[in-house]
Amino acid sequence: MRRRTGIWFATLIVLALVAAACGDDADNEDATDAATADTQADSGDTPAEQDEAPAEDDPPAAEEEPPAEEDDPPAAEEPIASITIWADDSRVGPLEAIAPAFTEETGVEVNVELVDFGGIRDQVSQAAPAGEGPDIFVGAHDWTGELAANGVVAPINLGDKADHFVQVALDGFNFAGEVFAVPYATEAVAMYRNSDLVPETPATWDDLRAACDAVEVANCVTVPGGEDAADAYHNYPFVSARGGGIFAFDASSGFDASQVVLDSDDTIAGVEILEAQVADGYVSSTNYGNAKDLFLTGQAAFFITGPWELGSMRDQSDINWAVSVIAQMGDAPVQPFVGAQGFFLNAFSENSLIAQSFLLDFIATDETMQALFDADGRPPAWLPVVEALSSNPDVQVFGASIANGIPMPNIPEMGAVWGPLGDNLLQVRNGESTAADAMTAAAEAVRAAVGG
Amino acid sequence: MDSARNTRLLRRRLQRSTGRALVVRTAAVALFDAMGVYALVSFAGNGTLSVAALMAFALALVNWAYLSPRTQGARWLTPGLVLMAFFVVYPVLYTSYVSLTNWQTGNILTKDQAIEQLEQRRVRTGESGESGDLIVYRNGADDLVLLVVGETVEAFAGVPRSSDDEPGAATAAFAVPADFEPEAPPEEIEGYELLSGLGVTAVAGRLQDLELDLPDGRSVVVETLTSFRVTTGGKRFAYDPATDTMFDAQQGRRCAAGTGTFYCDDVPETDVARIAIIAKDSTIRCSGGICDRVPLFALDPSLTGWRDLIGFDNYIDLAQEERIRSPFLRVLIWNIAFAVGSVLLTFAVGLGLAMLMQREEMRFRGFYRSIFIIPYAVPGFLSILVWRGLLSTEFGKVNELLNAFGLPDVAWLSGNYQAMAAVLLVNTWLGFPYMFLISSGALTSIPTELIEAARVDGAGPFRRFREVVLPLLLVSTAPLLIGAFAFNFNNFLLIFLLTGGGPPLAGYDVPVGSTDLLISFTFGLAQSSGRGQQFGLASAIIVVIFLVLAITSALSFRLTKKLEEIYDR
Repeated sequence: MRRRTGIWFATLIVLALVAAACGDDADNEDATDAATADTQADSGDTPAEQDEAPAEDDPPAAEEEPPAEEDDPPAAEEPIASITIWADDSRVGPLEAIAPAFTEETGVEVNVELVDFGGIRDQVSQAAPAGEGPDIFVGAHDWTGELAANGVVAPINLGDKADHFVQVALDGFNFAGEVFAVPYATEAVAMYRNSDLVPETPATWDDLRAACDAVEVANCVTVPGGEDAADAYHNYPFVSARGGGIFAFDASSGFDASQVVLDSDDTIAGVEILEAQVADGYVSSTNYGNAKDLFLTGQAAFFITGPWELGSMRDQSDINWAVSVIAQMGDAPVQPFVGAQGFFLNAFSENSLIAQSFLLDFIATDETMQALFDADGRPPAWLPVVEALSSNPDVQVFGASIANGIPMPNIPEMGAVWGPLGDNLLQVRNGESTAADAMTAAAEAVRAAVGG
Repeated sequence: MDSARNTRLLRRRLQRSTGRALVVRTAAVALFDAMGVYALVSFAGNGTLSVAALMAFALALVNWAYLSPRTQGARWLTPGLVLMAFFVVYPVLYTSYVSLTNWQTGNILTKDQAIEQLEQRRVRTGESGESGDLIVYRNGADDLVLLVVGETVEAFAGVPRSSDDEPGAATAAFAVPADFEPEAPPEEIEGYELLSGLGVTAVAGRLQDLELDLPDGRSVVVETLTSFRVTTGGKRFAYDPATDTMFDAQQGRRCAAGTGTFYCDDVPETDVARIAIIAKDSTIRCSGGICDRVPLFALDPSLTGWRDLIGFDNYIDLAQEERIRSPFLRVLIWNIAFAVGSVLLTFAVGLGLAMLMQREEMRFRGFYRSIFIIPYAVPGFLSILVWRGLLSTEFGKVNELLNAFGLPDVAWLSGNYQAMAAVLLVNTWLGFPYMFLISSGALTSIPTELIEAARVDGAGPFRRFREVVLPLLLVSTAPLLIGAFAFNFNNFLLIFLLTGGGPPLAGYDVPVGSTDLLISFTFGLAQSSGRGQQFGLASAIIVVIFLVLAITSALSFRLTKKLEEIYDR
């Protein structure tokens, strides 16, 4: 008898708790709704708040002020709306710094969440359809194809503002004829030079070899993508040195994955240059970490990498260095891969209008673009800021390299390229394969993956 | 006799404590139920019905086990069963389910979500459309009026319509003052009051779905909180649930739903992406320049599809496709060799050291014991990366040491066999402390009389080890060795951090390296086939790995059982 009472008692507790749990939720929702409604009701005509905004608010409104504002001041402090931005560690700071200005103008609270850059792409594809993604996220242009095919990013109409962006950045985010992000930075590799060892900028690769012969240095050029770590990106300047590439490119329709040109004569000729440098000992087999260390400690004359290392060059190195575009290997300037960073719009965002306002009215402005450059250091994608930086030699050099380059293909099929291309170039770097063999194998692997 | 009295005493004590225990127990169950039901409701609410069903099962099990008076045994097992259901059974079932779908880049949404996304797309005209200033007004009944003005858009105020409605003649236009300036808009238009910046934000959720028809026949959409844009094309897609078809206004064609997307017929071949025609799983049939069964993404790769059940296609691909099959076998063999080798090496080193530490004449044993635990105590993330640096061919300390002894450089991470050796070496370093610990424990539990008896019978040290120590040791450690085998079989972290699966093997059409395990091979394969990531195919491989492991473990346990039976006699 007693036991039975206990069970009934327990069931009652359970039910009570369940009811409490559910009821709580419902109450909260109601409360939030009510609060939102309140805020909507009085923020619509609360010029007291407007006065704080620097915008072109009209003073007459303040005079015919209805008494609503005294009703409940606490509600007014709550944000009317909020948007969430996912950014990696180098962009969280600047975004948090500029967000209050947007909040002041529009009343929208901006939550900047730190997400590892490499993880953003996969997490967005998972979180966005579940309704848990950010409204806006920072990303690289070569994600565009995959994210668009997944239906998790919305196209953005830049309208007249498109004229203010660096063209190669817009091309990067253009997939199937639509732009899917607001670009803010661009990058491409260039050539850092130890100016203690090599005072003059070598214009051609022959000059570079002569300069290395003239000094005693263990490694002439360090390029990531050798040793034990495949890196197609850093080796790409050789792939394209004689006009080669990965996929056939058409200005109107973009890259055509059905036409793999990795084993074309032009591509092989470019990789043969790399093969010769390896055989002659001018390009060492180095992974990223060792390439950087050797250069920073004065054991290498040249180091090919991007603007993201400018900071460590300034802070961690005792050597004198300079940066220039990569020494020319053929008839045309070296054509590195260009990467662009930008802000994508989640197609599942429930605040798409506010998010779009943030991007078009707030990010795409001189002040914000300047602030992002100051924090990040990569060449901006916003032309007015690029022009304002005409006296910054580093930005000019990387800008020139970017102008010579082509955007990395952003089609989803690139997933099938990085592995085989990087692996086969690694074998060339380690002297284990010839250019022709390696590129033929890479081309076959890519064809098998995308078409076979 | 004694035990019977004890049992009676125990039962009485139990009965006395039952009252208090029941309260504690019911309170705990109540707490669990409250959280469980909350989770159940939210899982069911956001559509993850499989997790909700699992949660319901867990709730029923817990309530039955802890509230029914006749379930003493089940009470101890229930927490384990619930955790196992969530973290073992559910992932296996879910992976099996994914392996039967076309889940891959371009097919990650549900059908409803994909249709929703498609219906937001607009007909492409190649023009961006003019934009201009937007000013929002609202009346007491919460109705909105939009005032727009731009370069070619004359100041116009009107009632907007939902973007889902067909564009019609402009409804209810309002008079705009002649001296209108966008910088100083009128405070009020026919009873509608001007909204401030914050006020516009508050109605942003409504504005984003609105369009306004202009008197000249054009329409504008709200683009930002302060601007509009003239549309250059209407909605591109309209879904008809009755026929399960999608009308594409861009092509002027109705496309029928099929596996994972909509398929259009009678499409000119010039409109179809060639890559989609030559793809191995292509459905497209072309003849005379006209193609049938053309999926939407072949017309425009930014048009998304949905995930769909496709039966055993992924398994058939796995079995039939030469480009996957040949590296798969290569990887499987190395995988087994790696797992077996790791277990044997770590066990040998660990056991050897443990036996050394058992010797009375050994000095500083406590000190050595603590030292041996260090590789186990340092996080793998850290020590693997340190090893990677040490093993670097040109700059690593290991080769420096070899050179000091006059030996040549070893390409630890870039030679095929050297890398395999390096992986085993590092794994031995990481794994021997565990084996050392369990062997030390097991060794002390072996009765010294047995070893003494063997010694008296004239068995030498090697024979004593082989015939007495090792068999007794294996009885207690064999299950742990099987566990170690299963763990190393899927030791993704080590491979990923140390070699990344490399060095790459030549002659295969998929990226595969000589130290790739099935799990890291799958990881690479999932990201690098066709149009990006292939979760369905990867899941099929995972299921195969699971089966291999399950069968291996079952066989090994059967063997251990035999072992126990023999030595129990």
